[in-house]
Amino acid sequence: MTALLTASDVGVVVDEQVLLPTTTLTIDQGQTLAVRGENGAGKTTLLRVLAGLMPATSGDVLLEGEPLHIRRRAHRGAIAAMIGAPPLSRDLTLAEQLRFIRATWGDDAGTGERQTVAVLEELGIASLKMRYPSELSSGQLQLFCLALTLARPSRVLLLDEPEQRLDAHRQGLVADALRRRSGAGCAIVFATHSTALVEAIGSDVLTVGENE
Amino acid sequence: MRDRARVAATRAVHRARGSHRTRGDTAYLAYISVLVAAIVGVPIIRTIVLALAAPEAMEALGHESTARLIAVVGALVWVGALALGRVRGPITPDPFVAVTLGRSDISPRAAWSRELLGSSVGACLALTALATLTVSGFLARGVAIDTAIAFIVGSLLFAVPTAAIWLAGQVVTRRTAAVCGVVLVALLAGAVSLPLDALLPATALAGLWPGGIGATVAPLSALGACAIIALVAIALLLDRMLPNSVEDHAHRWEAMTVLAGTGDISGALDRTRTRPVTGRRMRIAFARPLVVAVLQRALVGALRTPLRAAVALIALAAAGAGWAWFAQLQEGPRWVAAIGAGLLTFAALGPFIDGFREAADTAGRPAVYGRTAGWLLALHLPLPLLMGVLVPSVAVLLAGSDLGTAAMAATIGAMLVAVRAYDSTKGPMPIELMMPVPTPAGDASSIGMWAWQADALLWTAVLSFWLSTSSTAGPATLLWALPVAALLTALTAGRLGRAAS
Repeated sequence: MTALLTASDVGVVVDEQVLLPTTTLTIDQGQTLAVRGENGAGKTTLLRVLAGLMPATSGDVLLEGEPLHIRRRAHRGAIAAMIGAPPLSRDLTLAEQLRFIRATWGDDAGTGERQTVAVLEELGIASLKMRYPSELSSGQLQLFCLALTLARPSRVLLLDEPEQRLDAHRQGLVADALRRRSGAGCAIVFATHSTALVEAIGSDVLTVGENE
Repeated sequence: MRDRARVAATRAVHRARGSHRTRGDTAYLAYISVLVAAIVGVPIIRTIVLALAAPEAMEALGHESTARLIAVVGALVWVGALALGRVRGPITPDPFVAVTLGRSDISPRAAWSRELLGSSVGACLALTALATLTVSGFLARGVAIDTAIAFIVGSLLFAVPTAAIWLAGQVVTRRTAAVCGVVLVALLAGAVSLPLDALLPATALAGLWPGGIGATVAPLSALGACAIIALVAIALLLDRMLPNSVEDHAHRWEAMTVLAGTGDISGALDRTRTRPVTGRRMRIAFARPLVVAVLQRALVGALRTPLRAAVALIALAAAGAGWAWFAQLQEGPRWVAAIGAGLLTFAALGPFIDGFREAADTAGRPAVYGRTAGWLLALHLPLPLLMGVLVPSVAVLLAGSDLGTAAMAATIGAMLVAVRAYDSTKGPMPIELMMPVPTPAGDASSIGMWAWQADALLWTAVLSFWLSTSSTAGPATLLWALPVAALLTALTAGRLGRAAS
């Protein structure tokens, strides 16, 4: 059976600078993989390559056995990623932004509303649904960025340090949300410095740059 | 130590930090300013004066409709001053000075009178200079000299309350600013509809225009009274200035100047976008099809910054009035009216194209929305198209012009929406443009950089100028407008494609 996402010997070298040492990984539906490593080891670069946002200078990335082309509609629909802050609409409330995202994926108003409420409650920010993004603290903003990414449908979820600026309780909420998606069949790759998050999700671990 | 002495001591410390302009810097700046004025400014001013002194221009300028336009522009200047005060008030010192003086026990009057005086005098001089330029044709021809001079004096008196409104924009609360905005819009409505001898401030100014009502004493008295009231208001407003307002404006302005200095004009202008704090209970139904949901979303988004949207609507209507004036001019400075109306339309579309910016922002980033950046941008077209097409063309008809002129205003409005869409996909400046371009006259790289920065304005000016010289008007304008719109669409798609890859 073909794996959902495969990266074979991928590496990124720019002007003789190694941004990502040669790395191989395979992830199937329902699997979770934590990418670990020191600052600058190449964790974010690996996620960018897996998201199709940066070409690898060596190796291949395959989605269900096909070379990954993120401009292809089916591939774009399969992979959701939070690598840096997603684009925010400053004139929409949190709930409206999530409903707008759902509308662009084809939900009718009722379904969009239900999905929005579910994501906000899952991350413990339902009470903030009438706020504008400029009215959030940095931790709340991080949770909202996660909500924006989790609100869209996906079969592969790529997250860069989802625990940033979150206290232990909120990290637990994030771990629960990711476990639920994994249980529903979503493959999850996340870069992290948090051992607690890795243990809470119970994910496999890939250490980038271990042999450098 | 008295307040003023403490302020002087603080400023001395600031100068000693080295961030302040030195005497050498000031001398060099003066030298460059004189050179630029002599080489660029004088020929431009001379061209404008000669164009305004042409017999056809004199006839058009002496018409009563021009006096009405002066009243409308005067009222718009006040609305614009209030809006400007919300984002860049007259008291915008260096952030260090803003914090040091603003957070001390020194009174606002002692702390900020210097900044306020500099900004206010500068604004008054600029408005008076502009007024002098507009009557320069009369002065050059020696026609209606007394009235022209009265208009210049009246403009100076009109500028004083303008400075007060600018300060009010920075000082007052959001709620009070909204009330001020309503009052100023009511004055604008008066400037549009009331007789020119009605002695509202803007109509009083228009009454002084050569070809206006022919009286000088009553309008000048009215404007003088306004100026005196404004001076008292300035003193009262200054005492109410809060330190956080000065700091916000100081930090925003510093960020804008840094961004503009690095060539990121879009980023600098983005700092002027006000953040919504009201209107969160306005419901967006997100009805299907998606294009309707996006239109609802864009409309509600615009209404959540009501002053910004109101100023934009008024400016679009004023652009329509400009097109009506353009249609009246059979000869003379048609291109001035066309380019002015075009640039005003371009600027006024700003609050309605936030969706373009957000769509362009998704290119090359992980997909959150179920549509590509190009699709999202296309979905955001209806609101700016409605505003850019409908508002100016209805204003043209209300100004008494014909359907052909309205169709022309609608066409250029649609074209400028395409220019706006193209401009919103610009992204960062290509590094190649920053490379030195050695020529016998020196490094010419700045020409490319400025052309890249100003390309949307150049597009606007060229399209408007083209329209002013085109023998075809009305629906026939589509003959050349459609290929240009197709070209802009292709250029926009190209930019989005490059950003995505």
